[in-house]
Amino acid sequence: MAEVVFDHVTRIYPGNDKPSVDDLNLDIKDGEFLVLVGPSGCGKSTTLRMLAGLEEVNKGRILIGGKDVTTMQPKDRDIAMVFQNYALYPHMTVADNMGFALKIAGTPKDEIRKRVEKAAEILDLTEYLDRKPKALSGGQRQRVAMGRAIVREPKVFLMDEPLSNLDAKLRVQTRTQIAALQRQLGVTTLYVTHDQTEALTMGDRIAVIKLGILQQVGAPTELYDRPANVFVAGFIGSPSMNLNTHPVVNGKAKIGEDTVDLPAEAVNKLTAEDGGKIVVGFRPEDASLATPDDPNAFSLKVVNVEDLGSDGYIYGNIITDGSAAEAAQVMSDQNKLTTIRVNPRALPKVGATVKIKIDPSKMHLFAPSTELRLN
Amino acid sequence: MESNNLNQLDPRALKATSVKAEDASAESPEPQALKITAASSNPKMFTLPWEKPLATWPTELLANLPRGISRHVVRFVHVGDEVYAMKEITRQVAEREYELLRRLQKLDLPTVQPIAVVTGRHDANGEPLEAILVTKHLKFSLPYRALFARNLRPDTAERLIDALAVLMVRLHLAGFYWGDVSLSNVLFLRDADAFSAFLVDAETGDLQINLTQGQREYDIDLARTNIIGELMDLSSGRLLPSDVDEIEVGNRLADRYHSLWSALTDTDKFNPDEMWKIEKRVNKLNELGFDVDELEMKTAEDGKRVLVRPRVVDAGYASRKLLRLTGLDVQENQARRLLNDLDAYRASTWREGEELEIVATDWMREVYEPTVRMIPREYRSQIEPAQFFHEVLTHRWFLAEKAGHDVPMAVAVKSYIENVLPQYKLDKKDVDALNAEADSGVVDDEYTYNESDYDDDDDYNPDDDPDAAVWSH
Repeated sequence: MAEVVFDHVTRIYPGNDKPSVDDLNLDIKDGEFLVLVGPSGCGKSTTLRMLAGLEEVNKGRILIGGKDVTTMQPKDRDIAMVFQNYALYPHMTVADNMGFALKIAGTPKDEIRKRVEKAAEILDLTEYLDRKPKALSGGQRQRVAMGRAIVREPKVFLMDEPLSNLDAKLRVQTRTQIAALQRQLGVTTLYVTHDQTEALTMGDRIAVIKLGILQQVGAPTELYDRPANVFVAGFIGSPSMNLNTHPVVNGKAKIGEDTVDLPAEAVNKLTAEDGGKIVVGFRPEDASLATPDDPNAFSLKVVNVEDLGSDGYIYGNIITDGSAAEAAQVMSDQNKLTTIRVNPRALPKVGATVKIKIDPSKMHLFAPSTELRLN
Repeated sequence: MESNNLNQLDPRALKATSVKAEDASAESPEPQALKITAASSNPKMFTLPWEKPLATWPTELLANLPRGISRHVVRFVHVGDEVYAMKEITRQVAEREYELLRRLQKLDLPTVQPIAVVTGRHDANGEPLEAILVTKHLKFSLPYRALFARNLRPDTAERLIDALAVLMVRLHLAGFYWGDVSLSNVLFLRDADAFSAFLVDAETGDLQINLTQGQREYDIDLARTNIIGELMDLSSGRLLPSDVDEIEVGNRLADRYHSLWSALTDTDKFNPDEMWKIEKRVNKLNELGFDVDELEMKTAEDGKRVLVRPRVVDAGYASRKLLRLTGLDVQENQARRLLNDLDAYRASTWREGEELEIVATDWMREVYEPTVRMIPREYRSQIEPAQFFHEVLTHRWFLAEKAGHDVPMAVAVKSYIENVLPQYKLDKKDVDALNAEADSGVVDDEYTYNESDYDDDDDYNPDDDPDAAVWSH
């Protein structure tokens, strides 16, 4: 059993005022695949390196399998950093390439053979065990490298952007393999990435971190369906969620000249600090084209359309005071435009004004002052 | 690199390059057109076939030099008069490594010299290709496998380990965490009777203000495991003398590292009347090749003892001295040998009262240059002049001992060229075999990643491996 616990863990680099990781509390359950995701410099790699023993912990404790490892040397922690550039040795067989680290550790021969055979079975390499790397494809070589970490049977696997040196096509393949492999092995895993797609597709749970502070931990669907704050809402999901701040008038959101109904229990949670405004978020797939007389819809000036065959996307500006919003925004990148997924057979023309209706059950509402979720 | 650390880094490292590895989360788009960010202005760079995957570049462009094992496709390419090492990797990794290597260079650390990052590559069909990191091939250097491909002294493995330990200590002192230490990620230059090691792969590295003990210990532990693995591999290929104990050699790295680290960083305690011990310590550090920049001295709390901690700047004590005297830029042990010969020359010409700078000029003209001019043309790309000089001196000593009297330099040179130098030659067959081995570790070559041709190769028998046959004699 190897549960990992970060207990009020803080890391402040020498000479810095602000912690790079601030009072982190996080449990990784036994056998769980936890993905730590966030933008560059958010503290995710620092967190992994603290668990590995490469970075000092200034406050708090780290436990692996109930044992306090906070000040323990890396090699005594029974963790494996997975395929950080493992090289394959040309004269050694696949079996020896996978098992040599055990040989160094003095593991008995039959035990090594047993573990190597087990790993080879999982990695689909059994028939290649007596071959040399030369007789393998690149993908098989990659799996041999994974085998090196697997046969050690560590308590925890640590993976820091392990796919970053593979090109895009190979990355998608390997991503699937790693996730499947981890599930078969059931070894507790901490996986660090900046890529939210990797996080969503691989993790049992995802922990989102920003500027050293943990934002939310949950299953992929939980983070996708109920982001706890504006940052998580905007970070998780691609294309990303539409997020805009609107005035609240008579309990409704005033979007341009139109109004959209809001649930009363959310509006009631707004405070004076919010200044009579609310952040309304919705995913591109949770809105649809409405009829011109639909009372609960807003107007969008279409700037661009995309037909991907299976899906269509509209990119546009919300119309305020009768004209399209700031002309400057038209020229800016599509990320700042409101994005709506529609039936590609019913794409409006560029320049047209359309009415958009948000699925009320899929609306994400946040307080402007705290950026926290209201509904 | 954590950006919040940047403001405290050595300013030389901070201003090393305009390439800032992209913030991975910003996902800036790949350049649409070929983009070369280069530290040298070699116009021939633009004439290379960037639109082709590196593995398919025409052989007439390639330099047939031995390559080390790598997960990526690597080739040596003639570019004008120079030879560059090209490595095909993702753009982010390429930019990051280029930036790091630039920084390490600015800190005068022994690494390969970064030349360029090439991004925005597309093939003839407009499909994107991976980026290429270009570094300059380190002249006369060899990967460790090439050193074992020839008859070598039985202690070669140990001498390589010693060089690697020095490299690790130097990098760690400068705040560089390597993350992937191995013999494969190093190139070796002969340095008199020892070797000097140069870092060639910084993919997993990180430059910080100071390293934690955990980072240093992790590097050492990983180095130990990798070295043992690399030696076990040589042993499987029957390339390692059978009496070498791989695990013992791996342990030697940890021992050498720790003793060097403590010699360089430990605090000594002296009585106030034992200040001569400070000089002894400084001399010892100079002997190890390190310069002392400052001494930090403070009185212990009891007021009776002095605590002394040297601030070591860098290795290269002798080589800097020789460079100042002669303009020769050579490895540390070579420099020591040349300086000794210079001293002997001064004594034998009765010029001990004269300024060393003047004597050095004459020594260059009368001794050093005439000797190294005799290196036969076909060996000029294989042996460094200073190494040649050192080996001739050693050879002359052996000849003299055997003959029972002094042997003139010209005789020694002739004998050395006839009897010793041919061992340096790495023939084409050796290089081809080494490179075939190196290629058998490549993982991320898109064109072989999913190849399943091998599945049909049912009658493959490892005992019949053609490589094994090459290596067995």
